[in-house]
Amino acid sequence: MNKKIPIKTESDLLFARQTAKETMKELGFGSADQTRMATAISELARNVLKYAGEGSCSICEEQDEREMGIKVVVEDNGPGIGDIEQAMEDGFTTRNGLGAGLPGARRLVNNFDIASEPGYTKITLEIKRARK
Amino acid sequence: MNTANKSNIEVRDLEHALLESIPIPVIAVDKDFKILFINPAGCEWHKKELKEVIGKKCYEVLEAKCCSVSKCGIKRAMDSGKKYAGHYEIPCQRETINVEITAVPLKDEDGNIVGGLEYITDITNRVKLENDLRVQTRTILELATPVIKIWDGVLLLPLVGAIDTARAQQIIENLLNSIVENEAELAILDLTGVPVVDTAVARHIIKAVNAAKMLGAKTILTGFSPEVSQTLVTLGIDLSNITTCGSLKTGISKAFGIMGKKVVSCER
Amino acid sequence: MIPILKVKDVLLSSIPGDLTDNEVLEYQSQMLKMLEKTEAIGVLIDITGMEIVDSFMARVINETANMAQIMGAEVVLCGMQPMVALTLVEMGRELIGVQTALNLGKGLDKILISTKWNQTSLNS
Repeated sequence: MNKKIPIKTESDLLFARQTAKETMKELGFGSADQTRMATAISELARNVLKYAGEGSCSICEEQDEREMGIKVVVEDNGPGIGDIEQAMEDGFTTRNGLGAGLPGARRLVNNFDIASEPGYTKITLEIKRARK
Repeated sequence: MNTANKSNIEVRDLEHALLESIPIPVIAVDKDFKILFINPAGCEWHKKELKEVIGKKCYEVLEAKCCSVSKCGIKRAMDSGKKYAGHYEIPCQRETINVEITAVPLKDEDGNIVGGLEYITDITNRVKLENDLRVQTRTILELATPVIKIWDGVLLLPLVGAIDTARAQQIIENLLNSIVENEAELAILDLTGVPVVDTAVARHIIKAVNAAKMLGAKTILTGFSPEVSQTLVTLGIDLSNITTCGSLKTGISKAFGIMGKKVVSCER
Repeated sequence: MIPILKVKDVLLSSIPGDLTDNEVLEYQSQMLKMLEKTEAIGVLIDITGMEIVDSFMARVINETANMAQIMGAEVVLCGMQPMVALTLVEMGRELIGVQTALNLGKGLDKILISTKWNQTSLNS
């Protein structure tokens, strides 16, 4: 099941993280993982609004017999991240003193991947847990 | 049973004999899912006679649960051109049989996909063992992280055994939730039973202390043996912002001190 | 708008979960203006309703508390959800220089204890 949520306003941001939370709850994730993913989405969606103006957030379930997983892809057509390595450093910020966005989000998930070029940025987040 | 000519798949006698005698169910179909080959083990598995099924469409004669078009292993292998392996649960009388189906595409000399072959492995026992293991792991995790309320507003978490990341996560979640549930102002983490406190464990513990602090609770760490203290200092781990005690006993008396309580002897 | 109540000498407010950036910034200035006007000695910020706190929200809340502290108020942040605390620590975003309490009641106790001490030290 895939859900793609457009990110254009702050209420879209709230909706996206709420949707991720509910999806994860249905899949059987605990409240810690729900909060982690929702917070990471919040960080990234905020960047989308700030730097690109608009974008999207796709939430998909990824599960098999042994693991339950959720994959979230946040995309935008903004200016792109110039120096990814620098952006992943703690305390890096280009606007309005908001340092922890990317590195903070990375610490909350199992897999974190950035692909960015001028005109297109795609960040993939993933949380996987063994089934209990 | 001259199916080989029909499908441009040459099966030499020896290989044919091998496939016939192999005790694993093997089935081959062409692109339209007509059964080209099925070995005796396959017939037995599906409880069918060879002549009943050969040349028929597999999903018409073999009623397997995984036959629904989207889940068919052979279809996936033929579509992708690659090996496909999947697990399936098949209800069988009172029990469920777990099988692993491995499917490969069959190609002609030019490399065109002309059919598919699959073999079926019964993994019921393996799945059962894995499930047992999972239940045991969970039981151990639950046993190993109890939260004890030792006084109004004071919690004790005796940590026993090696702490890996999964356990550390569980301990932290447990600690934070219990603090809120019990309205605890103090939590004592006792490390007496933890054999090794390395950088990773120390980091998890510091994380727990900081998170508890944000909730409004103070944490006391107890049970630091000489060895553990030596290791921590040698590793350069800074615990100076955290209240620590050598033994659980001094930790508890410190907790009472913070709560403004003391233990007095009474006349008997 | 987030209501800010004055209970005796303490300003009390509960921040809801689905808050936009502008609303929280508006809350910040509102709180500080009210602090100036009422000369309250304590500020109690309840975040029980916030199930998700990202780095931006954490920063604004932390800064609001620090600003009120500079204006001389005793500030206590209370009711943080356990999983929010965990997430903030994992992100490396601990709140800095703010007193915390488990819930409203304990938060109020903390403010009253420290302000009582302040008053006696002023009087004596």
